[in-house]
Amino acid sequence: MPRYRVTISGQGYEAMADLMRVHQVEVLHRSSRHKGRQRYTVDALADDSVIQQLTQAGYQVERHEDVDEVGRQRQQEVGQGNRYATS
Amino acid sequence: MPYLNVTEVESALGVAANPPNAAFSQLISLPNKTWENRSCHALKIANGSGANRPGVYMLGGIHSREWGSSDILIALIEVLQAAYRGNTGITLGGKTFSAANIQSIVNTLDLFVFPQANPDGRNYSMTADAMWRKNRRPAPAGQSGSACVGVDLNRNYDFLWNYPKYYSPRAPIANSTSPCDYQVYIGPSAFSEPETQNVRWLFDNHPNIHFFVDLHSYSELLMYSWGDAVNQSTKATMNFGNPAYDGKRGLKGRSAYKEFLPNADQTTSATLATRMRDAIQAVRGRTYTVEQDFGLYPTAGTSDDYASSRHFVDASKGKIYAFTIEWGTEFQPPYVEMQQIMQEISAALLDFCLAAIATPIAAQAQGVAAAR
Repeated sequence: MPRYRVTISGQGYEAMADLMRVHQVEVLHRSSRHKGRQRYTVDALADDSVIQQLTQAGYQVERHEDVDEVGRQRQQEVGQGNRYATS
Repeated sequence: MPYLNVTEVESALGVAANPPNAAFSQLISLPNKTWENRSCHALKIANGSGANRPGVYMLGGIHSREWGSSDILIALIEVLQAAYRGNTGITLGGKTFSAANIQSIVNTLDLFVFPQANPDGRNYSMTADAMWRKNRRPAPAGQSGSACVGVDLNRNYDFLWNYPKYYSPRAPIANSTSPCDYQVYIGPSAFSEPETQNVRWLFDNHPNIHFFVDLHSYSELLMYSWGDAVNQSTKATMNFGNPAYDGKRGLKGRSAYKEFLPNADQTTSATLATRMRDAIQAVRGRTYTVEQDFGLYPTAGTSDDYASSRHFVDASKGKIYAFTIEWGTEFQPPYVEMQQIMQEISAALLDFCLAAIATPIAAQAQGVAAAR
């Protein structure tokens, strides 16, 4: 099943804490952006089933790129050989 | 120009230690090989010697998928060495460092740069699963899933490592005791991993290190300790070493446990982080956020808190001001964008060095009056 980077928005600290405590979401970075008046957002990895679960639980979930597809593209930007090799 | 592969990062360190840099650059072999039998090296840049030289330790490549951290540190090494040799300044976008700045950094400080602490993981991320984060410790017997490989190295340091004991059961902590957690398995014990042992070895063998920066991505953040709770400076007994607070850490709220950090340390940490923020902004206008590690979610077992805690656990060890940079807005930006980020973070780290020289702890280390 494809994995996506998603942005999850929720209302209040308890809801965001439940992303970890209840839903065991794979959050992608340490902090979250505070969008004002107890509205928070955080990026995470999620597949369609997790997205559905979170949406049903009242979170707003914005789906971004397929991380594996983008990852394969980025792997094409990794050096081949050794630019520092001395003859 | 693509991202550096694993071999290239190690080769770049070797080149950096050779002539014409050998007079002020030294390759350091780390004692522990990785699970896949790779050797790791750091580079010391310093013109001069003596225990009174303040040490600055820059670490990268702990998390596999955050490829750019190693590239940033290699780029920084190269630009710093060239400018020092040529007695020139450095211009990074809109940020300029004078030749005197560069001479001051290399002549005053011992810089320890360890750019690729987790080469096994980097290789796996670059050739197989791009989103891989952990190292490549083999899966435990009886566990065959691909996610059961590896330990999250930035949960493996000895700072409140055994988090179920120290944190509230209600704490929303991003750590796991399950080896099959894809992201944040803490390992079988603190410092169980050769990679984190290597990181610690540099601290242990260079007690003049008073400043530490660990590069990660992403979020455009500049963070300082602590990660287990909100900082406070009024109640010294409320601290990570006090068992009376076990089971209570990691929550937010007015009556929640808060972690002790002396006022002066808080001020110095915020000042150094702000210097980095301003340097980044000068390059091309991006504004990073300075904040304490403890944001929405607590952490345990991280490098910056371990570095900060060493002095509190053992007063004979020197104080370390420790930081985490979360660069960029994605783990693997297109390389064209990564080159811009490399300029930003290089500027931040150079300005961090200049700011570090001006701190009282660096002045004390050099045996001069701390008052400024």
